[in-house]
Amino acid sequence: MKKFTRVLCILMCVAATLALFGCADSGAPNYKKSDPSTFAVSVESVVQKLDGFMQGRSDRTSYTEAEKSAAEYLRDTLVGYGYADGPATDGSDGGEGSLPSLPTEDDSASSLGMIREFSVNDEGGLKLISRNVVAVYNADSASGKNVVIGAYYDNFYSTPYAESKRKGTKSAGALSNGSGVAALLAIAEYLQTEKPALDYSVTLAFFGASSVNNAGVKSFYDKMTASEKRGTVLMIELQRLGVDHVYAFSDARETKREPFFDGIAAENGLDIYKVTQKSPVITDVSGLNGIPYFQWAMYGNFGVFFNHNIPTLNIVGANWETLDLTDRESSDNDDMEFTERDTLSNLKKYYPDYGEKIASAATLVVKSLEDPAFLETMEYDLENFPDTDYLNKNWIWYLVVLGIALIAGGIMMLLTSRLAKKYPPVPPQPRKMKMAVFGMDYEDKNSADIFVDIRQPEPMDDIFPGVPNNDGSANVDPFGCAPPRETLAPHTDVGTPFEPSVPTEQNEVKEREEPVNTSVDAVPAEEETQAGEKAEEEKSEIDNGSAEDSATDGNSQDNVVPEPTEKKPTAPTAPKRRAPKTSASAAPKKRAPAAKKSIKTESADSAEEDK
Amino acid sequence: MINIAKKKLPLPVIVLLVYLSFCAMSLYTMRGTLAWYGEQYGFGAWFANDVWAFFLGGLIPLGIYELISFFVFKMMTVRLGRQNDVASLRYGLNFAVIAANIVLFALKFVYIAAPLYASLLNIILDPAVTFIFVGLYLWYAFKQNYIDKTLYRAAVTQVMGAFIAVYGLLALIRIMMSVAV
Repeated sequence: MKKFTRVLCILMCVAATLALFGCADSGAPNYKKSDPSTFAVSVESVVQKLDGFMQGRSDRTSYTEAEKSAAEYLRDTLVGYGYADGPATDGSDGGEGSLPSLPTEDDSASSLGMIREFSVNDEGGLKLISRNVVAVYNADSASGKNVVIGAYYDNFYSTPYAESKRKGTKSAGALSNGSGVAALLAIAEYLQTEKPALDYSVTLAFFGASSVNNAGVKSFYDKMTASEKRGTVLMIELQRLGVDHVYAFSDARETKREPFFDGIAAENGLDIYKVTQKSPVITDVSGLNGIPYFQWAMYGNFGVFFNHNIPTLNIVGANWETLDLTDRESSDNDDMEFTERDTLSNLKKYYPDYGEKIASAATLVVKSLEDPAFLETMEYDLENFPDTDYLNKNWIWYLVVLGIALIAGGIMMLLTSRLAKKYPPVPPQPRKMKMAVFGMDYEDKNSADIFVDIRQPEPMDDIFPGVPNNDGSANVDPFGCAPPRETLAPHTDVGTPFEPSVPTEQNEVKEREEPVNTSVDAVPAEEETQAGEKAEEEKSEIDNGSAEDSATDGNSQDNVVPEPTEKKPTAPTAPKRRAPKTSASAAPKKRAPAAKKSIKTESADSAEEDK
Repeated sequence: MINIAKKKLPLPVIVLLVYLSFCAMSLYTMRGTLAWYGEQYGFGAWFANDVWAFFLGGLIPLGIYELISFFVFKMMTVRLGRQNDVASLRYGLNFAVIAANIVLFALKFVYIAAPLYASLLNIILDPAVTFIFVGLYLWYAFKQNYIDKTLYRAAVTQVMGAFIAVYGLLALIRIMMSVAV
C-alpha cells in the first residue's frame, strides 16, 4: 500500500509539473533579433506619429467633441499621406483612397467621407454620436478581396455624457491605444509611400466609441455590404503596443495564418511572441467571441469579425510569460492601461523600447501584406473557418448533460435489475424480543425471537450498550445520573425471586408443610404426566452431571447453585444465556416450570418413602 | 486480488491524497477562474497564479465529495446493516475517485489538440470517467465481499445514483457559471 501511495504521489507531482511548465512552449521567438534600423517601418516614424497623435489629445472620450477632434486629426493625417477624402455613396465615383462600396452611415449624420458618423442610443434613449475614420488602399482591386486593419483611437478620459453612470479614468491612453493608432498610421503611410502591388484592397479603420461595448467596430461591420463581408479575408487589430512583448495571435485552434505570420516575423527578425497553451483558458462553455473558450489574446474589437467567422489576427502588447495569470503588460512595471498612469511620458519612461515594439508590429503587417502567399493563406483560413455558433448555445449543453445523466441512469437501472435477478434481496424478518426469567423457555434453532435472560450475570453490552445489568456488571451509566457505586446500599434485606434457593431449616420446614398438590393445580393432568416423565429423565441426567462435575471440579462448592441433597433435588443448573445444548444443561425446552414443580413433587414423594 | 482495505492508510493521508487528486483535476478550470477574477478585482501575481489555482481548485470538489460520501455511506450503514463492511467500501472508494481524477487531469490536455471541443468533451468526460471508475470499484468491492450479495442492488443504487446526481449537478453549475459570458 505504501508503495502504491508513493507511486501515486510521484505520478501526480510529475503530471502537475508537466502541466504547468513542461508541455507549454515558450512564447519567445527562437531566432536572433535583427537590427531595428532594417524594419520596413522605422522606429522614428512611429515615435513621431505617436507624439503627433497625443499632442493635446489626452482626452478622446467617446461621444464627445474631443473624440471628434481626434477623428479629424486622423482624417487630416490620412489625407496628408495621399488618401482621398470626400462623400462616397457608392463605388462609382470613388478613386483610390475613397470608399467605393461602403455605404454612408446614419442618415441623420452627415457623411464626411473618411469620417463615418454613427449613432447609438443609451439606456435612457439618448442619442449619442461617434465616428469611425476609414481609408482604403487599392480600392479598385479586381479580386473583390479585402483586408481590414483596425485600431481604436478613443479613450475613457472623462465621463462621456452627463447621464452616464461610468466615471472617467483620466487615462490619456498613450499605450491604450495611441500606440496602436501610431502603428496603423505608419502602415497607412507605408502603403501610400511604397505603393505595393496588391491584388486585394486594404481598409484602414480607426474605431471610435470602443470603450462603450465596441460600438465603433460593430457599426463598421454592420454597415458593410454582404459582398464586402464575404470578400474580407482577414481582420488585423493593433492594440496596446510598446510594452514588454508583442504577440500575434490568431486562434487557439490550428490555423494556417499564424504560422504564416510567424514565418514573416522570423524572416525579418521581428520580436514577435506566440501565445502558448500556458495562457489560461477562461471560459468553459460560453465564450466572449462566440467560441467556447477565451484567452486574454482574444480580447478586442476583432471579436466582432471573429464572431462572424472572419479570420482575425490580434497584434497586442503584453507579457504573458510570467506566473501571473492575469492580463499583464510587464513583469517589472505595474499595468498602465485604463489608469491615470497611461501617459506618453510614462510610456517613454517605463518602456524605452516602445518605438521598436510598435515598429516591429507595423513591419510585420506590411511585410505580410506584400508576401505573395498572403491571399492564398487567408483564403484557406476563411474557407476552413469552423462554424462555432452552435457551441455557444447553452441549451445544447443542457441537453448534453441531460443526455449523459439519462444514459448513466439507464445503465444503472439495467445493472441493478440484473443484480436483483441474480441476487434477490431478502426481506428483513421482524424479530421480537422476549425477556426470559429463570426457568422460562429459551430460543431454539428455529425461533426467530431473541431471548434475553435478565438474570444473566454476564454483561449484555452487545445487546444493550450502556445499560447496567442487574448484577451491576456494566460500568457505563447511560444517563450520567447514577450515584457512585460506593454509595449504593447493599441489598441485604431484599430477596429476589431469582436468587437460588439456599436450603435452610425454615425452608425445609416450609416445604414439608406445603401441600404437594398445589403445583398440580397449575399443570394439567396430561402435561403433569409428561412433565413427570421428563423430570425423571432430567433428574437422572442432572445427577449424573453433578456427579461428573463434582468429580472433575473440586471448586464446585463455589457455584451459586446449591449442592443437590438427598431430600431436595436441585433445579436445572443456573441459566445460561442462549442455553448451550450440552448434556448437563439439557433442560426441558417446554413447560419447564411445570417440570420443576413435578420434580419438587416427586422429590417430596421420595422423601416420604425414605422416611 | 489485493484487498486495498486490508492495510488502511490513516484518514488524514487518504483525505490528502483525494484532495490533491481533485486539485489536479480542477487545475485547468481554476486557472481560468482565477485569471478572470484576478483581472476583474485587481489581484496581482500574489494570488492569481498557478500555485493558488492548484490548491484552491481542489477545495470545493473535495468538500462536495466528502459531504456526499458522508451522507451516502451513513444511509448505507442504516440500510445495509452493520454486518456489512461499509467502512471498507467507503475507504476503497477514495482510491477509485483518485484514479478517476488523475485520468481526468490527463484528459484536460485535450484542449491542446481540440480547443474548440475541449469544453464539450470535458462536460461529457468528467461524469463519464468518474461513473466508470466508481462502477469498476463497486465490482471490485463485490468481489472482496465488503457487502452481502443480496445487497448489491441497494449498494449500486445508492453509490452510483449519488455520483450521477452530484456530477450532473456540477456540470450544470459549470454551464451556468461560465465566467466570461
